[in-house]
Amino acid sequence: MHQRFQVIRGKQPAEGAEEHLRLREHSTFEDALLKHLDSLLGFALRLTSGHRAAAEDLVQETSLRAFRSFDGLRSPTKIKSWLFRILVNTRINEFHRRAREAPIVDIELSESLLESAGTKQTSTPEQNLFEQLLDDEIQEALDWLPVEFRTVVWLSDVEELSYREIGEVIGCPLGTVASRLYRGHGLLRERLQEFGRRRGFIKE
Amino acid sequence: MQCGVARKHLYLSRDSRAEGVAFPIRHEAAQAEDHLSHCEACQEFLASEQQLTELLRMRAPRQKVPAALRERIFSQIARERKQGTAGSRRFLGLLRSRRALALASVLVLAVAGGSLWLAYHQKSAGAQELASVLIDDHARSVPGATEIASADRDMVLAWFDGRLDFRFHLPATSEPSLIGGRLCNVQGRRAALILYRHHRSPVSLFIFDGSNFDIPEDRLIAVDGRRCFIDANRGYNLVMWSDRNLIYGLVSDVRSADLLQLAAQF
Repeated sequence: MHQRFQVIRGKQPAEGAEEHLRLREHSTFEDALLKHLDSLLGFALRLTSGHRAAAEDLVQETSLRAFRSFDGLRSPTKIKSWLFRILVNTRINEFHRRAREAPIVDIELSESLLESAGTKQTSTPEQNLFEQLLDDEIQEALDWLPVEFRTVVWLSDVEELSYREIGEVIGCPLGTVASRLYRGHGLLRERLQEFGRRRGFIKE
Repeated sequence: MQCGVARKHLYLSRDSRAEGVAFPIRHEAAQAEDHLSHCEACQEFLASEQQLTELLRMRAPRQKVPAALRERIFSQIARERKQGTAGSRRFLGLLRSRRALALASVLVLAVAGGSLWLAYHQKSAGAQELASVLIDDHARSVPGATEIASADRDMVLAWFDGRLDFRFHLPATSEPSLIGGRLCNVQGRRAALILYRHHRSPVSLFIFDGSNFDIPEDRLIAVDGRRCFIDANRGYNLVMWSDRNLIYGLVSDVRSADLLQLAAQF
């Protein structure tokens, strides 16, 4: 009996799969998902412009799709960006079933674009503006951004993904990610300054 | 170097620098850094970008997933896990669509042989995965963390009565010695976790509903007339068997031969 037990115990995972198995042993899919569920909902809310029911459905569908393809995840350490990618793809599929929004035109992050950056100054320092903004205004400004910019700004600034990881999530080269982040920041800044002007704490 | 050129390099390397990764074009990156150290406008440009990043990082709306949504997601995953693997689910999904129905009828005979093969492998993978989950749960559980702490078998059984959809029996044992028990969750199924101690080693006995779950015949070995599935992982040994629709899983770091002897009492 003991000998048969040894035979079973002697089974080794295929070479190359060891790392995968090791991480799988330590964390089941549910454990890994639970760690990122709040982030997924936060991101889903931004992709759906704050529509809670749609965001919750999106997170649920994303979780199930991820569960079904978890065995195919080669690198469990990349699970966060992998989950975001599934969420983005799920959203795109759903979105395209209903309507097609005009996509933004990507422009390269060029020297001329950046040369003039920061020339439109107001008399109110940016830090003062930021301190007086309401959380709702920040959320509203984010949701006002075109979804392509919103996605990159959220993943970079809030979720702290690297350009490379964001590129994998949205299927874009690194330069496009940087360009969208820069342009997204520009639009966001304009919107936040508009809130400041409306509430009278920015004077031209 | 022009401000625009420097800013492009600095912007592209923004997150690489944060991660401590060298920017690929070293020469130009060094020039850009040099430009930055002298150019106030570029310093302001980068600081302003960073300020906006900080604003969002600190004050963007964060979310806590509501318990109801979490429950919905995990119970759906548990249901799917119970139903089978991804491959069989996709196949059933295809069968539901009308167009695929005609195709499926042609394919049914062709894949029948393959399905038998697949079913065997699913069973095998399912048992292996379950074994890993039980070992993992045992390894992570805090020794002595019980909801009912008692060495009295009847008291422990009485505590579980009504808390689970099934009833189970525990034998009177002096070794392992009973410590108590608590409820737990095994792959989405509510389970009883009975805690014992054998010499100095904690011993966990998981008991849960085993309907729709089969252990492949050729992975079973006979131990005192009972057919058991045996596994070992990360220094822990596991013995698992089924009895009247319930699955019992005994996990500990005691030697495998000793664990088999302990299992024989149940």
